[in-house]
Amino acid sequence: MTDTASPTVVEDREFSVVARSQWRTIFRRFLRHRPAMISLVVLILLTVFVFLFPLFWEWTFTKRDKTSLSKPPSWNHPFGTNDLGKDGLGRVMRGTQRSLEIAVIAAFLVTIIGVLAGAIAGYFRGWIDAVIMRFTDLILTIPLLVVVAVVSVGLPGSPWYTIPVILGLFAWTTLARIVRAEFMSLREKEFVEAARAVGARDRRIIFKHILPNLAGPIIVAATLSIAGTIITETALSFLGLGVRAPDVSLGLLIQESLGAFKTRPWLFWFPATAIVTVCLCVNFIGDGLRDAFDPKQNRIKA
Amino acid sequence: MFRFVIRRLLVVIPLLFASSVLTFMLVINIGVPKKIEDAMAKPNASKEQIASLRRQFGIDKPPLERYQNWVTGFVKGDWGKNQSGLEIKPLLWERMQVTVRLLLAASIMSVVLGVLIGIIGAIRQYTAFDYSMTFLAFLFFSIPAAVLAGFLKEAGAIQLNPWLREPSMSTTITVLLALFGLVSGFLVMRNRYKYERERPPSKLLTGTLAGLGIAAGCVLVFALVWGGNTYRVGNPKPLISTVGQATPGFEGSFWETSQDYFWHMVLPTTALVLIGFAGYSRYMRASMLDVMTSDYVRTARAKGLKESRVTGMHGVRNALIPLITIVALDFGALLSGAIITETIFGWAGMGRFFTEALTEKDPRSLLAFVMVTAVSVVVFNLIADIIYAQLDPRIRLD
Repeated sequence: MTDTASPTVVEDREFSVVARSQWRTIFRRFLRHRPAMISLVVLILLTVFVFLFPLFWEWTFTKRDKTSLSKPPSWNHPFGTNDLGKDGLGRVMRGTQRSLEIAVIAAFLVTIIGVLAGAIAGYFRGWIDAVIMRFTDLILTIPLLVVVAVVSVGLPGSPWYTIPVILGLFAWTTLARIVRAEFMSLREKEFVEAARAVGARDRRIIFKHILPNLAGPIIVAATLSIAGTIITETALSFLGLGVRAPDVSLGLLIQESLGAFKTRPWLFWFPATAIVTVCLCVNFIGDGLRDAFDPKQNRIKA
Repeated sequence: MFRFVIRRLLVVIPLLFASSVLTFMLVINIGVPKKIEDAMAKPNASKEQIASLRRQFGIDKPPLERYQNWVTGFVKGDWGKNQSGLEIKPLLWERMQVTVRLLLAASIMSVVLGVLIGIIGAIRQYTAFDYSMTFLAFLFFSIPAAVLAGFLKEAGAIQLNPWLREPSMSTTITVLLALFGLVSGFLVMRNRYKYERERPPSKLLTGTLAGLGIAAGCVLVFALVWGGNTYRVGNPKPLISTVGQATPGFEGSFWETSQDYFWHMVLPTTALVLIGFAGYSRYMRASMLDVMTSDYVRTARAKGLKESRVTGMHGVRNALIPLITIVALDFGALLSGAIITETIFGWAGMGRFFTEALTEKDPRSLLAFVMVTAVSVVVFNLIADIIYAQLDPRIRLD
């Protein structure tokens, strides 16, 4: 690392090297990870676009243009129209919104539940640990898609946000295992003993002393679960169990378009590209974060 | 180890019990089976009819009794009938074979491909190969099964089928193949001799020979094997099938049936391999990088072993250990692993069994499905632990 603060600013100080905090180091490493940076920019631009542009775009995802049914991409409808004359661009933007919202809610829930469950299990041990871990064993035996599909069959006509909630309620077990393993080793460390010696309560030790050490793995897992959720949502919508019409999500658009691929291929290509772009960006960001948080990583070239 | 297995099996039984209870609770809360729902929706449905239907499916009793009935029957081997009146057990068994036929080949291929790419990526870190494979792995990681399988079905087969029916090896293609061989031969030689003292006599010569060899091989295959292929000649329909796991009612010699299976498997297998190899190649690369920087590899080099022996005997063998656990776990999830792909390609496998049971809301079928997949997950978990302990002498099971 050749970075020293510029001498013009700190001339009056004794040392010209400014100590760099851990977070700053991580941030700098992340900035140097080129795929992750490109992905971050693309993802931000895409998100801003799909949330803001519909405000200016005359075709909403439900509005029908009866003069152009099943038309390929044109100047009026850049992403074409479907058999009902609904605008492809409007629907893809709305679908991307929905998919992103679902992914963020599910990832949020997964992170909160996973961290809490893992922390409690790993910190307190005993019967509470046994209960939580047996539950994760249980979830491991039943495939996630199966559980979520069965639950959402039981909730017909429910609003879209039940899907991320169900996903969040069943997908947290992997993260809980990671957090628990870390907690089990960290709770034996001296700094925890020291905190306890000065009278810190359990809650303070868990959140102020142990949890900050796990920021890296947790942030990475949360990021990657966004991509995982989008893919699961696609699978669910494909089985007709995800977001339901008239609302749209990217998965639903894929499912609708596959039936008429030969006559209206554009209806497949645009949402497919949107899904892959979002997931690819998220995965690259996750990879960049993992590298940035990895203390063994110190290579100059990214 | 015997004691370990026994102990683990004792843990597994209550686990399976709990998983059946959880599934049961979920399943009885998703509503009455489709058939009763339909009957109730009819305007002239009499109360007696509905009551008799409910009795027929055994859902007129309280949940606890229903569970008892199910579990005693299940343990004794009587898994009940589904909504269409078919016995669940033979049906599930049949569907399972179809799925295993599809997934076994796909899993083995994706493991082999992933391991190879991972090893090369780790040995030649930060080369063009490594970067492009990393990108590909991320790409396939990010494509949902529905998108990839849908694309292969709708776009891939249409492009390939006419060509496969009348494969023409025009001069242009031959020249292109030769060029491809030249470039790849050149690259292989360059990489191979980059780290070794002896240089090949001529990269150009070896490359040209390899290219000509590939081109000649392709021509030979098409000229000799393709023309006289009875399966292809006898079947007027497109070769790569996009629907089903076999041609219904197809009869032929063993060689022809195998080909029928093969052409039906091509697309779903491709989809599954592409999705599967991505993860394995990343794992293998990370694990291999870890091993190759370890002390015993340095020792092996210091002893003066050949580089090929260092990577092969000291590197790959150790790097495979963590991967084997993951592979074993994935094999456990195999039975439920391809619901989407199976649905898209219309395979009558476990995926269809599940989706049918779900639309029919048939409790017994859903429970049977979950139990079978749960048992396979649990068994392969156990196998993973045993293999791990066998391969890594630092781990003791007892």
